[in-house]
Amino acid sequence: MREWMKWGWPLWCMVGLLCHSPSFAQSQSSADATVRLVYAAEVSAQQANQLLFNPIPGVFTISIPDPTGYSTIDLAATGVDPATGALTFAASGDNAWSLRRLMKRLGSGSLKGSFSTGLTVSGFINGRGVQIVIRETHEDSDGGGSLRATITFD
Amino acid sequence: MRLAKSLTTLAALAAVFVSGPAQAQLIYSITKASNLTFGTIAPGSTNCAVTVSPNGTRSKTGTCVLISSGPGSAATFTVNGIGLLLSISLPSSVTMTKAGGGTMTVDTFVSNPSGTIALSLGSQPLTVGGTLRVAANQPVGVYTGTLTVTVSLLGLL
Repeated sequence: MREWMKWGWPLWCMVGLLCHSPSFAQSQSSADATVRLVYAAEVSAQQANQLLFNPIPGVFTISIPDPTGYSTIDLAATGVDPATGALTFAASGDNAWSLRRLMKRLGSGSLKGSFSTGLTVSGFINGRGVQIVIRETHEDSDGGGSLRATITFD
Repeated sequence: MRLAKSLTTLAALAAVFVSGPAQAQLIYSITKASNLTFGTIAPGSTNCAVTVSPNGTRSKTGTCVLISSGPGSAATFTVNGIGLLLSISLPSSVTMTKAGGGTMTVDTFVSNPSGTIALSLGSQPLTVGGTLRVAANQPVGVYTGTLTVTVSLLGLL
């Protein structure tokens, strides 16, 4: 604050503008700062290119064997880091739903295990045999989430 | 001349303050319009810095991955006032936390406009960006924090 404003208030009081100590109150406003951190799937750049150039780029249909045959779950990948080959999955509500469904099936169906123990899921991605080793999963309270996985093609 | 200028200043002050029986109220304000978000990010194996500029552009240095489906955006505010020169103060840093533990830091806040605002009449949009420090293998999840922007009276136009 400028000195003349700070010490000039008695003059203002004299002319009837402010008959008390001026507050010079500041005005403040707050905003939230947010970020969502997600796992990046771990695949090679070659594998990522194969995935991204599939007929439905970026959408991975994972077929999981169950007592009635196979059921499918879609996960939407949004990109690949050209430097590391890391494939990234969107933290979308659909993906979170798929993750929950996958976790539930892993816990109750023919496949047993936990994501946190490095379970290998064998299945198909767009008609191609793959093995997916789930490294880690995370689900946020708002329904978003992510996973870290290593994908190996037959 | 000096007297005339002083009287003009006092008249302007009268327009700036609304005098009440107990308190005077400054007629300027800042209100939030939208939050600052760094979008969705996959941490890398090394430290990473993700910057959202005041115009909302997101960029990074380091090995983290910026997920395109989760873009970032700058915080936006509206500053209102008449015939005022106002200063803008931004926080030096903000700590973001997530449920279950884990913290991150946002610093190097930048606004547009920056420093001061000369408000002749009406309102002025103000956008604020910053730089998020993402540690190597930072635990995933949703992190939140609060940044406070302060506007102070510097003088009259």
